[in-house]
Amino acid sequence: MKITIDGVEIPIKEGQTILEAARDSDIYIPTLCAHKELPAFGACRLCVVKVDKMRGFPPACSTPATDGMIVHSDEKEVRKLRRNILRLILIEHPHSCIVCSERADCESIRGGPVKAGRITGCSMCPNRETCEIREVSHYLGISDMEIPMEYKGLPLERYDPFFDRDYNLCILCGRCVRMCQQIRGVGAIAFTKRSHNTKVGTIFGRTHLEGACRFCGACIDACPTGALSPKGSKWHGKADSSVESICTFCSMNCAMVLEEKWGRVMAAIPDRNKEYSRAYACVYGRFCIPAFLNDPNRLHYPLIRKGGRLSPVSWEEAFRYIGDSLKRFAPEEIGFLVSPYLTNESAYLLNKLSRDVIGSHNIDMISKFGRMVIQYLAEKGRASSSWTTLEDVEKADWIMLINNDMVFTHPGMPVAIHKARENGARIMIVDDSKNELEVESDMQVRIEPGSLRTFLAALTKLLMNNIKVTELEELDSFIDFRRSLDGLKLIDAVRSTGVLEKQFSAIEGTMRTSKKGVIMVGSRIMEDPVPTQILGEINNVLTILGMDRGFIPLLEEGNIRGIADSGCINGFRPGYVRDRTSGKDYLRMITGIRRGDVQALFISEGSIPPEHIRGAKFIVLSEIYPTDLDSMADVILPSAVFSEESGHYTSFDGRVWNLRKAAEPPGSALPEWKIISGIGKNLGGDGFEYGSSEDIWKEMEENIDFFKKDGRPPVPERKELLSVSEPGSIHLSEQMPYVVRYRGTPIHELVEDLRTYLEENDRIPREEDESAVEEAQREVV
Amino acid sequence: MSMTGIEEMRKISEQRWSDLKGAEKVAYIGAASCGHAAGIVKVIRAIDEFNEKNGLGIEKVEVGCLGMCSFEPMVYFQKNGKDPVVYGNLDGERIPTLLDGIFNKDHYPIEGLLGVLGEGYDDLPSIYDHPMMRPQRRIILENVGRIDPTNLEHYLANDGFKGLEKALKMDPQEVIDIVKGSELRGRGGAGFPTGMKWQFCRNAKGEKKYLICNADEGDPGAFMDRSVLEGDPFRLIEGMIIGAYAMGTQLGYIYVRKEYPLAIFRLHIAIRECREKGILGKDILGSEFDFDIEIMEGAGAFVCGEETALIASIMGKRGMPQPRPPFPAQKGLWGYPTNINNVKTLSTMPSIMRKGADWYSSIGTKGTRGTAVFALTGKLKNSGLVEIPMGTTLREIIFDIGGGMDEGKSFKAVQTGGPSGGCLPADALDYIVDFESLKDAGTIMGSGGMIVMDEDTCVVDVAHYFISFTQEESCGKCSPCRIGTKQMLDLLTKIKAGDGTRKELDELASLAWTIQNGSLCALGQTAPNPILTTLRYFMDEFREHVFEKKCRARVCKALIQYEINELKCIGCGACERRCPVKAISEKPVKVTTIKGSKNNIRVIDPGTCIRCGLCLETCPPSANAISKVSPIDRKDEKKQGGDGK
Ligand SMILES: Cc1cc2nc3c(=O)[nH]c(=O)nc-3n(C[C@H](O)[C@H](O)[C@H](O)COP(=O)(O)O)c2cc1C
Ligand code: SF4
Ligand code: SF4
Ligand code: SF4
Ligand code: FES
Repeated sequence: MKITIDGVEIPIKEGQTILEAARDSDIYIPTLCAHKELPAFGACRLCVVKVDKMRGFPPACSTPATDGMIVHSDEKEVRKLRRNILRLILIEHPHSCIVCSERADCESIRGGPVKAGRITGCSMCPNRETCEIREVSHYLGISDMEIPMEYKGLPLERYDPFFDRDYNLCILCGRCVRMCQQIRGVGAIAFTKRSHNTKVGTIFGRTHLEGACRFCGACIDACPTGALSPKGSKWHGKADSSVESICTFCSMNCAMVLEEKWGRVMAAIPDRNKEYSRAYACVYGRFCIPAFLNDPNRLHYPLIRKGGRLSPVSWEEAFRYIGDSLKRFAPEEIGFLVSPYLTNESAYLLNKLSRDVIGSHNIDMISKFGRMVIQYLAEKGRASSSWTTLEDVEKADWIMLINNDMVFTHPGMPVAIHKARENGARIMIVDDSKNELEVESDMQVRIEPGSLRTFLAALTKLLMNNIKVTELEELDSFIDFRRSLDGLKLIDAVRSTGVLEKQFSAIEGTMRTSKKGVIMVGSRIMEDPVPTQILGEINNVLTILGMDRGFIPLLEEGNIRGIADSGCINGFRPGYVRDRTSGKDYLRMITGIRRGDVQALFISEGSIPPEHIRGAKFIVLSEIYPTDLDSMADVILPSAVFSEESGHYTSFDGRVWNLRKAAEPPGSALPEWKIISGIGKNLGGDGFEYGSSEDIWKEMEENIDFFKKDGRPPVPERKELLSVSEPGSIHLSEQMPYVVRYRGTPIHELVEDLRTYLEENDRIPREEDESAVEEAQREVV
Repeated sequence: MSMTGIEEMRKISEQRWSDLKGAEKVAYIGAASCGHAAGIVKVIRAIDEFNEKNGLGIEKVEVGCLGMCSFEPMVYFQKNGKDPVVYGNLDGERIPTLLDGIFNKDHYPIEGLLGVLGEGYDDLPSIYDHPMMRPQRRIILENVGRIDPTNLEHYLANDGFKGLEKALKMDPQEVIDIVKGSELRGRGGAGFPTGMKWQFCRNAKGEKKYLICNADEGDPGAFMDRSVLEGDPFRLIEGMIIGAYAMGTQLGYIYVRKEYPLAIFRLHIAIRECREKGILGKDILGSEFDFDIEIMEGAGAFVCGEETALIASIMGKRGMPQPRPPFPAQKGLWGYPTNINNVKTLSTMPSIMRKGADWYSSIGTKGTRGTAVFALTGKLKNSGLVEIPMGTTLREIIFDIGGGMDEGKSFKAVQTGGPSGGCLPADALDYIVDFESLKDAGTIMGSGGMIVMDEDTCVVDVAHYFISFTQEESCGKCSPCRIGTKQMLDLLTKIKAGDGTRKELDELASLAWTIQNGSLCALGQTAPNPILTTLRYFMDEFREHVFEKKCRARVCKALIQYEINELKCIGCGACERRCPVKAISEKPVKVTTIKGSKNNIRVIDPGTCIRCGLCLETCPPSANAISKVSPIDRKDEKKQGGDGK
């Protein structure tokens, strides 16, 4: 199938619009409201064309291309109409930068935008480098304006964190609104008013902070003008260089373009070219990366405690000192507590250093929920296969969300869930406290705190009533399982969970409709004294439904999955090969320190409570910012952050991502793999002679089946049933809500605007309250 | 209810109807919105009082609007089973004498008597011979004003649901074929052939389908659909069921603006009644066909009359048009195939089904069959709602039915199609009414608004009015409409202010072209029509505004002045007290006239005057000293006068 545009024949695909076909063949048609990721809107009218046998001037963006169509895009009347329309648009959009006769000279001399209170002319627009209006004006040859501009004179909206809004520049293309409503599923903004008074705004004109905004910045990145601009990276102009990398703040690992200027990362823009994660980036990745990484408090030099004081030393000295010191301890007296933000390569080297060079098998990850889950899955033999992915989420027929705060822990995930819902999935929320996603779901079940086990057990019982499980009956565990279910009366479950019987059966009924379902569970299940029991009961449900896949634990830390894959998990070498020598896991290391069994520690982030490691004789700390542990450390090593090194990360669902270097580390800070290699070499270890992280990766790919292409074993069938616990409520231990962090430092501690946002949403105590909290804690101690 | 069930009900209904028609004393009360606005409530109260006091036993029946709006409030009195006699322009005070005359003295007072609703008798003329009624051919309005709109029996007795019964016995495709054969074109404005539209929807694949009745009616000066809804809601329901059956629809919506509370109220009653009697709901009339209707109240945005915006509005979204394709017939409400028709289109169906395609296609002109319903308003003697066969000339409508201009003024222009239509001059009065003819004339048929203007109307002002309407009602989505109409409005404001130049005139034309061709929906695409037609037919007046700074109708404030005629002024000072800006003062010197010299003569300072016209209103009729003048005219007069001497 093909169409002709201005005499050029181009191929078309089924269902394409004229615009899509033209773009595929690199034919330019001016547009302002069209956006690749959004359905056609037809508002700007710049894409009008003429089509033989069609009346008037159909817009290319919403007119389907049909075989044999003859389209005229570069034709006199079309050009005239487009030009007239663009002139109309320019009446409302400050345009001196477009029509100024000095434009060319001016731009060659002046480097970046000039800060000013309000954007009315050329020099002040932060969007100058990427402005689509300029592009379209250039194409249509607009170099003068006869009609004077009508400045709308709307107040600037600067009172929200992260980004400013100047709707005097807005051309009402609706991209932001559609992004927010249709892609993000949030709907914080909408068109308000009518006629020339139409304006994008929030409900009742509230601030975004008070409204529904999640500060994902999707609106900004969709805006073709300078109406929306990020506060943090508004004025630095065009980047000197940019690299495709990822955000490492949560385990979704959204693809990001890191923009570098003057040697620092100045902005992180979601990578629109990556199918996988382009739409998910959130407040942390979009807005917090530069401020978090560039804080002047970053550690610059290795420090060694000499005579009670930390003094800067050279790397050689530091390595020598560490090597000499570690030699004083027996291997099993040394422990490794690994940051879940290291690259796969660094984790692999740490495994090598501890298990192979030193001979210590005391190695584990610093994490609560993630460590519990991965350890559980590894024990069950399920950690080595590929996990339920984001695509599974988007294509699911039902999704059950259990006890999680994903809007704050994984803000990208609701986007996938929204997409699933748009495709017809039913979203069910099962939670013992308020879930932000309630309005975006189809069923909300608020269960009594502590009754999650009972809820799952009752659900299991209902499923068992309706599904034949003949195969499962042969399992050894079946009899006990059956008996435990028999002991459960639905009426008791209703009483202790507070879930009505009809809600139970609605959920059960929905789950039975399809095996393409997903159960997601968040870290709030850690309040249960035995959280693995919950994992086991979820496994029961999936097993009865006959689903191999469909479980997503909302792992928090950026590379928790990757460092486990690479061997930094207790009991498993890289690729989940059983470690034949047993070592201590995190908790046993802590008790070991208290008992004096463990005396030396290598810790790669400072988020551990100081009391956990009190008593250790020698502590090496590699980190990026000063932490509470510094006063106990004997050596502090400045590490590079993810934008300063290359390597690989593995997202929660097992996808491997390239981390690319965008800037140099401060001072003499080194990438973690170099630090580990340095220590390894000083301990006389072999195999630390790497030229780059790429060499390490190659070694991993060569030596470990798991890292080979298609090296992961298939998902094993679920063949296990766990006896359900007695009905009733479990006494929960209170937990602080998880706050997103990197290498142990909560992001909001360095990003003021994030603090504001999280405070507003009660994720962290308000600053004024915080001292009170500390006071209270001190009293308790 | 089964078909036989409805037969029985019809029999009972017919009996009741003929009982009513044979009753001794009945008052049929025009109780549509227009009647209420004109004060029917007071009339009803007076009838009740008189009735009670004299024990006359008059039965009251509330009916819709007969369409003779300038004669509201109206009541028709029936005596001894004879056809009722229609009285108009009633008020409460006249009722006692009137009732006394008719029912006690057997004498029909002549004042306000309009005619017999039926054949004339005893020297009483038939109302159908009234100039306003004679040229009409009532199909859609057949029952409006004759029956109680909330009484299913009245409707049944007047052939109600016969069309539906017939349709339900046919194959749905046969129904569509009849609609196609009737050559009916949609009455919502665009005139799309209804049969074809139904066929698209019938052929579209979808688990569900929807039928929407568009009763948004947002054009200024239009009230055709309201009258139908208020006067004969069962007819619309019947039409909708026929359509639903033909297209295979399970659910229908009536999208009606909130500003029509009476229509909504009566629709609710009619729908409930139909549900109770098995005419709506499951297994309609025993045909195994299920269909129900819901009412959606719109917030009264003009753009919500546009199909895709209307659909968005029903779905709870902002009423903004969407690009097509996809067309509603492919992907409409909730993503399912949807057909939207105007109230009048659907209300024509019962008659077409009953009387056949050939009957309908014999009425009207070749391209446009059937009748047109117009809401005739403006500076006319008779305004109201009229239904005329297509092919009637504008002249006949305005001068025969409308009775020509009020107060002896001369005709200037007629606007059809509301803000999407155009303004036609006297020269164009011989255009006939049908879709093509009006399009040739530069306007559109629209959904039936017709506003007649006299010499006191300024066409620039009219264009300004319509553009300010479309600008305000523009949904704000697409740039040509949102920004373009604002620009046109600004240009017209400039011209009205006397600041226009040749450039403004050229720009108007160019903008009109851009908006017409560039806009997303028909609101924008047709918004320039009032400008294009006024430019085409009344260029002289535009030129006068631009080049001579003159407004011949003396409407544009910047181009007129108020003046006090010294000779006529009686010095009462009423105007001075009324003037809000203190532009009027006493003339310091005495003025001498033939009758002697006068004190206290007032003068207006044109610099301070804001042209509000309050002084003119205030000046006692005995003096009539203040007038609106165009300064240019006066200069001309002076010049001429000077030359003459
Ligand atoms: C701005 C605008 C307002 C409209 N308003 C109405 C209306 O009030 N009533 C109506 O029936 N059609 C209205 N229409 C036309 C409808 O979109 C549609 O064409 C019509 O309802 C189709 O019905 P028909 O086929 O019976 O004519 C309007 C169209 C536009 C563009
Ligand atoms: S930042 Fe995200 S949530 Fe907030 S308005 Fe923009 S798109 Fe919506
Ligand atoms: S703010 Fe930007 S994206 Fe949103 S409507 Fe305005 S111009 Fe378009
Ligand atoms: S033409 Fe006007 S009313 Fe129609 S979509 Fe465009 S802005 Fe909205
Ligand atoms: S790109 Fe087609 S109308 Fe805007």
